[in-house]
Amino acid sequence: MRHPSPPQQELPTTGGEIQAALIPAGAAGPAAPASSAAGRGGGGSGGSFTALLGLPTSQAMELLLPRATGAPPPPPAPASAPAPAPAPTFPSDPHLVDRAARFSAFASASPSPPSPPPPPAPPAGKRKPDPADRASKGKSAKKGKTAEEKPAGGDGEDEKPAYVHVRARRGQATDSHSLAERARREKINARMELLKELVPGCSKVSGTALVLDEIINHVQSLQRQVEYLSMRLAAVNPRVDFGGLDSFLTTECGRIAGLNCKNGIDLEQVTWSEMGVHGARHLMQLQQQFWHGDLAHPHQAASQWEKRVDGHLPVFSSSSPSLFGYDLTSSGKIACNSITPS
Amino acid sequence: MDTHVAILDVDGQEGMERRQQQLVLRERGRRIKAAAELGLARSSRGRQWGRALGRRTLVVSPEDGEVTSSSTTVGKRQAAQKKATSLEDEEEVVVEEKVALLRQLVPGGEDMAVEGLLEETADYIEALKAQVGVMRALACLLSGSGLDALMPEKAAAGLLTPEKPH
Repeated sequence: MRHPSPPQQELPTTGGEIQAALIPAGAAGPAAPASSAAGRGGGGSGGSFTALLGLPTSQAMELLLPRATGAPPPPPAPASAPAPAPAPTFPSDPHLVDRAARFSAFASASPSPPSPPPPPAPPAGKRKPDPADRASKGKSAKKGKTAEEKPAGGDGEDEKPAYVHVRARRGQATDSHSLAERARREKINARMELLKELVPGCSKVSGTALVLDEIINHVQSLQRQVEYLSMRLAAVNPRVDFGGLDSFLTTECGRIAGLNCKNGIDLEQVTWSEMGVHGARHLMQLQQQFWHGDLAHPHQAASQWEKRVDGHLPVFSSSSPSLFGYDLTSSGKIACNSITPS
Repeated sequence: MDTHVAILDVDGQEGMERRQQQLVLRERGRRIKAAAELGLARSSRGRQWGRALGRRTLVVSPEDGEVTSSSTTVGKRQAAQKKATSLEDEEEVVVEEKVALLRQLVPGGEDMAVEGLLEETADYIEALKAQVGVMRALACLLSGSGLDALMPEKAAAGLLTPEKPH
C-alpha cells in the first residue's frame, strides 16, 4: 500500500485547483515550467514546485507536454521517460522523479525536480479522484474497502489506481456485503473475459456455465495432447541422446521459447524459425546418431535411457527455463559435438 | 498339424515380446510425461499451479501413475448441492459443479478461491499450449519421417498417423 506522505515543503496558499488536490494527496512530483526550472535548476525543489502550483492546469499542461516527449503514463515501476533535448539543465533522472511522483515523497535532496515527469493530465486526473474517493471512504467508513484491487469503478481517467472504486449504481444496496459481493463478481467477470480470449471459440458463447464448459474442454484436450505426445515421443528410437538437445534447448531455443511463452507468440512458428542453422544441424546430428547406432542392442539403450531419466528426474535445472525437465548435462558415451549457439 | 503348432508358437513368442515392448513403451511414455510436467512446472515462473504440479510429480512416483482424488470430488459435489438447496438456485449449482471440475484439472486448484483459480487457469492454458507445441515439433523432428515441423497443419496430420517403432 502506498500511503502518501505529507509534503515536505510548505506550500503557498495560492488557491489553485492543483494545490487543493495535491495537499491531501501528498506532494506528488510535478514538473516545473521550463523557464523557471532552467533558472532555478537544482536550487530549490520547493521553487519549481510552487511555480507549478501558481499555474492552472492547462497552462502547466502546455508547458509540460512538449517536454514530456514520449513519457509513458505512470506505471508502478519506474518508467524510462527520456529527458527532453532542449533543456540542458534538466538532470535526467526520470526514474527518481517517477518514483517520487508515485510515492509522493518529493525528492528534496536530489536535484532532479525539473526533469520531465509523467504527463500531467493523467497524474492530475488521477489525483483528483483519489482524494475524492478517499474522502468518500472516510465518510462511509463502514464500507471497509481499503484493499488494493483492480479498478472497478467508472473512473475513466485512472490508469492504474491503487484503490478499487466500487460505485453503487442506482437502486442497488450499498451495504458492505453487497458491495463486496459486487466487487468480487466484477473481478470474476474480468477473469472470465481473459479466459474467453484464451480459449478458441468462446467469444460467442454467453453465460458462465457454457464458457466454463468450453474452458474445461480445452484444458482436458490440452492435457490429453500432452499424454499422447509423450507416448509418441516414447516410441521414438531411444538411442537418441537427449543430453545435447537439452543444453541446446536451455541456451538458445529454450530461452526464446520461454520468452515467447510469456509473450503468447505461437511457439512453433517463432521458435523453430529462429533455430536456424544450428537447430537443423543439431537435429541432423541426432538423427545420424540413431541411424548409425547399434540397433542390435535395444535393451542396453533402453536401460541407459531409464537410468539417465531416473537419476535426473528430481533435479531442477537451475539454468534458464527449459520446457523439458531433463538435466542431462552429461552427454554420455555418445559423441555429441557441442554446438556453439551464436 | 505341425505347421499349425509352429505358427501358434511363433505367435506366442511374438505376442510376449510385443507385450513386453508395450510395457516398456508405456513406462517410457510415463517418464516422458513426468519430465514434461516438471518442465512445465519449471517454466511456470513460480505460479501456484506450477508449484503444485512440481510437488505432485515428485511425490507420486511415475510408476504408480497419478493419484486421482476421486473421493474428494464426490464430497465437494455433495457440499455444492447442499449449498444449492439452501440457495435454491439451479444455475449456481451447475456453475459450482463446473468450477469443481476445473479445480481438479488445474493442479493445486483445490485450495484456491474462484478468482485465483480463473487466473491460474489462464496461465496454465498458455503454458500447456506452449508445451504441446514444443512436444509436437520435437516428435515430428525426431521421428525422422521428414514431416515439416514448421507447418502446424502437417504436424497435425502427422499426429493422426502415429508411427510404430521398428
